Amino acid sequence: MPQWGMTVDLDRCTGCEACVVACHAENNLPIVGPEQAAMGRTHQWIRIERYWEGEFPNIRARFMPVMCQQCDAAPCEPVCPVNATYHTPDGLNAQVYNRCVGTRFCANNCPYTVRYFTWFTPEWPSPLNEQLNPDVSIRSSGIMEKCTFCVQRIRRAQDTAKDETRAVRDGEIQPACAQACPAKVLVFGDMSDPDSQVSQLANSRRGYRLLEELGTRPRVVYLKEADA
Amino acid sequence: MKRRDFLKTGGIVGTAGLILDGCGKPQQLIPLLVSEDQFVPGEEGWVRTLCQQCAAGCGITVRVMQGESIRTIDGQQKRVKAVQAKKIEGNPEHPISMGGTCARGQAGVQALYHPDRVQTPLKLSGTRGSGQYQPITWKDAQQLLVTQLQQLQATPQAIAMLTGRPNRGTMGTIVERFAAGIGTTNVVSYDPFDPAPLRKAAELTTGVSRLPAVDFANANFLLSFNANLFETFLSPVRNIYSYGQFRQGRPGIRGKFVHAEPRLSQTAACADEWLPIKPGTEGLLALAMAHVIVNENLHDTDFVAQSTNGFAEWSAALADYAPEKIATQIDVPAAKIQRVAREFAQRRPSVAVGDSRDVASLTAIYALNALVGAYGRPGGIVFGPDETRGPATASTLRTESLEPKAKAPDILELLSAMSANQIKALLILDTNPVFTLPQGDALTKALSTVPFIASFASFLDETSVMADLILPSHVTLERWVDDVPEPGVGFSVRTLGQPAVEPRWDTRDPGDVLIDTAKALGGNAATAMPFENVAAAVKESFRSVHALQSGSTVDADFDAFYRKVTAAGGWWNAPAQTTADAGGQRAEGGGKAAARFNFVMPATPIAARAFAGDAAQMPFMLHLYPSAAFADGRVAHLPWLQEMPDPMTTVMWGSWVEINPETAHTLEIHEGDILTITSPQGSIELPAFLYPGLRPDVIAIPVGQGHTQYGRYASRGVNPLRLAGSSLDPASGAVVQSGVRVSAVKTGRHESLIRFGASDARGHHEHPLHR
Amino acid sequence: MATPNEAQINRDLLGPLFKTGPRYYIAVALFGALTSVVFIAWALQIMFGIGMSGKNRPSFWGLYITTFVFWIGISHAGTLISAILRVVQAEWRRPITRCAEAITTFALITGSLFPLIHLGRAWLFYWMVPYPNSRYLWPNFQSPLMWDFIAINTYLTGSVTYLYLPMIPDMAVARDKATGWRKKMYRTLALGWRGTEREWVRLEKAISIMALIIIPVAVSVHTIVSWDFAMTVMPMWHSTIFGPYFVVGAIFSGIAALLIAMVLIRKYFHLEHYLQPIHFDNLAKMLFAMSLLWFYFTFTEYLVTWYGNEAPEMPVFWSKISGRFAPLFWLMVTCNFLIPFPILAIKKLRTIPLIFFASSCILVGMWLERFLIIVPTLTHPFLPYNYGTYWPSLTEASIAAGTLGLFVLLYFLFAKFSPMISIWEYEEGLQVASKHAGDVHPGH
Ligand SMILES: Nc1nc2c(c(=O)[nH]1)N[C@H]1C(S)=C(S)[C@@H](COP(=O)(O)OP(=O)(O)OC[C@H]3O[C@@H](n4cnc5c(=O)[nH]c(N)nc54)[C@H](O)[C@@H]3O)O[C@H]1N2
Ligand SMILES: Nc1nc2c(c(=O)[nH]1)N[C@H]1C(S)=C(S)[C@@H](COP(=O)(O)OP(=O)(O)OC[C@H]3O[C@@H](n4cnc5c(=O)[nH]c(N)nc54)[C@H](O)[C@@H]3O)O[C@H]1N2
Ligand code: SF4
Ligand code: SF4
Ligand code: SF4
Ligand code: SF4
Ligand code: SF4
Ligand SMILES: [Mo]
Repeated sequence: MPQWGMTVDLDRCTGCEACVVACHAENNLPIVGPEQAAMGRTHQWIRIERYWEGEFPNIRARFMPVMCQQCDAAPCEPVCPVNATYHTPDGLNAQVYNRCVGTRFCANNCPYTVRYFTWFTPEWPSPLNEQLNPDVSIRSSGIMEKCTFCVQRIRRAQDTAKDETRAVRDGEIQPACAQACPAKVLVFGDMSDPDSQVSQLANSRRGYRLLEELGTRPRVVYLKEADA
Repeated sequence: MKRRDFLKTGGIVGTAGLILDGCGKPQQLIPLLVSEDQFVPGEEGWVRTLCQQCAAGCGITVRVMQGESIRTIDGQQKRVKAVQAKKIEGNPEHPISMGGTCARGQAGVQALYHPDRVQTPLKLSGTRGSGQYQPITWKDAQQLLVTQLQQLQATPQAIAMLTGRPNRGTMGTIVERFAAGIGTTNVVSYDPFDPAPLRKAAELTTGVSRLPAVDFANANFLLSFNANLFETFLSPVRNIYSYGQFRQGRPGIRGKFVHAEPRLSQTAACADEWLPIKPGTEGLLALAMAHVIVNENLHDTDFVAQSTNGFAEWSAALADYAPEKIATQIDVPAAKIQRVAREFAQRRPSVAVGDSRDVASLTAIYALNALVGAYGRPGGIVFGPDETRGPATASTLRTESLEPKAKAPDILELLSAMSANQIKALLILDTNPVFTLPQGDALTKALSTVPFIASFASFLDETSVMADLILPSHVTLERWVDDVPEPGVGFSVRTLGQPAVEPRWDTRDPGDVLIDTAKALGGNAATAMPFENVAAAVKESFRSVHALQSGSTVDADFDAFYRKVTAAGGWWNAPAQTTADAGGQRAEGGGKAAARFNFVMPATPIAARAFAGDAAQMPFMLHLYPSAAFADGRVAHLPWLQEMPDPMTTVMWGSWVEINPETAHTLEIHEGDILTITSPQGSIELPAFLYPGLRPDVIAIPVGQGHTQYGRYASRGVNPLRLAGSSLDPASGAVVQSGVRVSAVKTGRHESLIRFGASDARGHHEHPLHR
Repeated sequence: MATPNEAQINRDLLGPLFKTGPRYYIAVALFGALTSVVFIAWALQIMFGIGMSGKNRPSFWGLYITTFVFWIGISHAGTLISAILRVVQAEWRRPITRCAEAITTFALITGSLFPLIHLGRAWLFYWMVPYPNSRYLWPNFQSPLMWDFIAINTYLTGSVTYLYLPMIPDMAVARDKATGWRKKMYRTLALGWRGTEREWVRLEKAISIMALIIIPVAVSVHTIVSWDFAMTVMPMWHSTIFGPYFVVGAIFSGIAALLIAMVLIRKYFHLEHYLQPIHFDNLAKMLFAMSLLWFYFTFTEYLVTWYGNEAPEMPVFWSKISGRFAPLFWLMVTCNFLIPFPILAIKKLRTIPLIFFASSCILVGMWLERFLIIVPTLTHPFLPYNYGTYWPSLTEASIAAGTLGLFVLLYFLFAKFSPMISIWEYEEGLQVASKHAGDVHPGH
């Protein structure tokens, strides 16, 4: 059983947000419009956090892409009263949309604040709906959603590999954000394979996990700015 | 050849063009057809084409799927099966995109399915600018255009064409030929962020009038002057790719990056060190650094001796630019200038890149590259073959007699010509100058005096609402396109794009409209246009690369070659090494490195750029920058980009004015306070954003918002270009924005900015970033 | 003041059941209208989406959960207090047990509406019910929300039983007085009560057992409600003292609510004979003790947070102490401690009007306490980029405020249905009192 994971190379990230729009395009993220956006209700399964450091003129800003960290010990999971969010054997924090009743408890207990809620029924004025990806469910009103590691792509690749009676190759699966990123910040793959690119990067001395002291054991490993 | 085989050999699946209407009557549609038995709903296919959301020329891959679409057929709503574009990815083999895209590129598919696209040809039914049109047929539309042009056959100079940045592919040839054929030299191109000064500076220093390709992926030290590499500068995706390589792509090497700009841009945010220079002093800073390098003998003496001209006089003139003398003008401590200059000279391979409206300043920046021997070496400035219009165009299609005889006017000249009633018909293609020209209001007035205006717009924008006739264009994903990226990568690249989907609406390729119009006009116009249609012309343009029998695709049979090139999304002639290394060939293929570098010191000393306006009343210098999401505003109609948080301010769905927090504090300005910003040219009102990375004497405003037309999502924020003037820069021949000073006054009103991220998000020592 | 005789007691206490003045109808109409606001607003919210509330990311919870915790807290007024007083055989409890227990039941009903109102898909609430189904879909028993669900249901069942048991003899009295359909109703509810010795013994036993059971249940309910927060990893939620802190807060607000109800019942049903200053004084002393306890817990909670100085907790801490939420925080301290402390501590100030005032302040303060536990944490999550703000929407505010109407309405309707003072217990009290001459007599 592969154990999916991702590395985020902070030293490569330019904050361009291609990944952000790519995730919208791939995962049918709704556009909520200015009024709802002002209320803090946009959907950004991956976001680029920008932090200021220092004061003018010795000021810098840093970018940090944050998506669901697919925690091995995910605090969002035990609190869901209906098991709508659970862990898959290959290490994904999965979300069953049609089981979710919308308590939003999981979102409160996610230390990374990466869960997004569908406050109203999303709309795509025709023909914008023709772009919708049929591989990904549209979430109706009242449902929690978040980054899935583009599970539809994982499953598609696994199906293809199965048809060809072979294992999924390292690098064969690219989540939409990783594929879009011009700087190759995001690397996805099987963490249980020590030879995979993602394992190698994750085990480099640049690797650390976000808020790892909380014991959430995230599957996303950040690579800090440092000499290689 | 059977269509099915076509697909197989092409290596692409199912870009089906089968529409079944309600009666089951199959309509065959271009471009690629599959037989009905291959039509499987939900089956995906991949089509390679070109991104045209900006001028970078990234090769992309479009994921298409067969799905259902509600269409109006014979006046009835019907459910039809159609191939639909789902997702845009980079083309991993394409040397510019390297498989990546930027945010704007991702959103290209929303241009295709935008609910406010012009769906059929339109004829003005209300007054100009009212946006009231009535749909007409293409036959009538074409006839109307032909009739209008026929009336002016005797006075062709009364016809003008207004375009954006000149198209580098076959479409450019078609426009040029159309104009030449009907006998007008009035082909005006306007781009608010025209890179003409860069091209001119390159020409002056190297003799090559092309945008230089910077191979900083392989550099150890990158010094940037104002270049917003990761937002909008020339080739953002290529730049971002290079940055990734520069930082972590080479084992054991981590490039160092210093960026000079009055504002801490997204690019500056990535730099190891930011030099907050006074606006318009990039040339001074470059010369001050040059002074340090030459003075301390840190330059590449071999390169300077062997490959440059004019070093002696030039270096003598540097004496006036010693850091100690001009540091206060630049407002960066002399010691810092010296330190960075030394590091730049010593951490070779190093390279400098610059963006400026001032040709002289750019020559100074390029000179730094010569000092470190960056020309023609890996990790420096690389050259490719001169193919700005594609090899085929030059050799087989262009005929001497059709070369334009006079210099094309610039937009300001066109403006006065229109005001003087010299222009009787105007064709507008791929540009929106009423929005992007600082004198947009004057332009609107001038346009209203032109008797006939036709626009090829896909959307009703501020300029096209002035048209009498709208001939709606296909969007990129519906067109055949070809391109030669500029800047390139040091070797030949010809991008080819095919339609990913059949046209969603009753639109046409503007090239086809021009070809048909030329044919209907007959005479010279028809002779000048020897193509059946755009698709054929694009194909024809690939004959010359086919003739090379080298590069990424080789096949003796031209048709087979072209199929493969279509499937691959283009043809390129990368050297054998991996592409990253290949960027740095000193001389390759047809691409010769500049023979020699000319050190040019302008006759008048380089000085800080002048800012119009009384400093007492207008204490701030205005810094306008193309926004990361919307560039010059051309993609502000796409909802994904409107809802994308600005990378620095995190603002969505709006625009803002940036002010230094200390300055704001003394003026008692808080975030969201609406300020009146007044320049000598005019004044606008915008909510304030306290921007910690901004010089206290500067006010910065992003360009791109403030549309009054352009569909339901675009009417957000304010267009700040109205504050700037623009004038012809004699050095580069381009119309560029002029520097202005502004005042900022509180109106007393408040408008909360729509933000995604928290205003007080600061890294602190406990922060996860520092683990 | 003379001790009322049995006939008078029956008349006074059963009177409101059978005599209805216009004031009552006006009040019912008013609170009924307020209640209908709740259901109209809720219907709109279900129709258009939970986005009708002001919640957002990161403030996924807001007014609804605040008000939920508030009402569940209020519910501790009754059953717990009455049970404790019964178990310790505090004689002065007798006239107040019924109104206290009624508060519990109606506060629970009102409060438990909120987890439903707050659901994104309220119509699917029953998925949280563990019922057998062909898909073998079970709720997640690991979730504190499930514990809540079970605990609240248990408490509600227990409380209704505990309210009902002592009502049986009174139902029988009412049965004997009523006519028509009401007679039928009371006859059914009286369960054929005849007042035999055996019946009395069994009733007393049942009540004693229920009193013993209900105490741990009540304590567990608010402990579990606190775990909705304490079980998470969120800054200033993840606290070991939240269980007792919430229980103390609940009893605190419960007693305050009880006092308010008693003042109003005493005034409008003219029960000055029965609810005497001594009852208020005793309860006020308990309230004083709870105020001190509340202050102690609050002080401990904040002191430890401040001293620990953990990075993720400090922004939440400062937002309450000196930041955006400071006005609410200090208002809370004022309402829960600074005002009640002197009023309840100084004997001279422990008058019924001032106790009423202090109790009202405490209700405001305790509502604020819940708000200040929920919202500042949510708006200051771990990663500072995601700090947010929260403003309740009109829909949300109408629902939260409107449930006050629902609660009062239920209470009013109950007052028409059952004597608000347990007739037999009161009478029993008089007998006990005359046996133990020298004991504090309810009527002095
Ligand atoms: N998120 C989410 N996931 C779910 C479910 C859910 O409710 N939510 N439901 C689950 C359930 S109950 C099920 S049954 C599965 C269904 O999951 P799948 O079995 O994957 O079902 P489909 O995607 O409907 O069909 C599979 C493929 O069969 C192809 N196909 C159609 N006709 C034929 C044929 O004649 N021959 C062949 N060889 N192929 C054909 C289709 O084109 C399609 O590609 O999904 C499960 N997954
Ligand atoms: N249009 C369409 N129709 C289909 C299919 C399809 O792909 N598309 N697939 C077919 C197949 S393979 C299948 S198996 C069937 C499945 O058809 P259904 O059995 O209808 O399956 P779902 O819609 O996945 O789920 C049923 C309902 O269960 C609810 N639910 C979730 N948890 C609980 C719970 O604890 N208790 C209760 N009572 N309800 C709960 C969900 O919200 C949903 O409304 O549909 C068949 N029909
Ligand atoms: S696309 Fe890549 S470089 Fe751009 S913001 Fe996302 S992770 Fe960073
Ligand atoms: S990041 Fe948040 S949503 Fe994702 S698994 Fe962890 S706790 Fe759950
Ligand atoms: S919002 Fe949905 S997934 Fe999250 S805890 Fe509630 S029911 Fe579970
Ligand atoms: S992995 Fe997929 S779902 Fe997750 S952020 Fe990236 S694109 Fe979005
Ligand atoms: S840089 Fe972005 S917008 Fe420009 S061509 Fe490339 S992908 Fe398209
Ligand atoms: Mo199924």
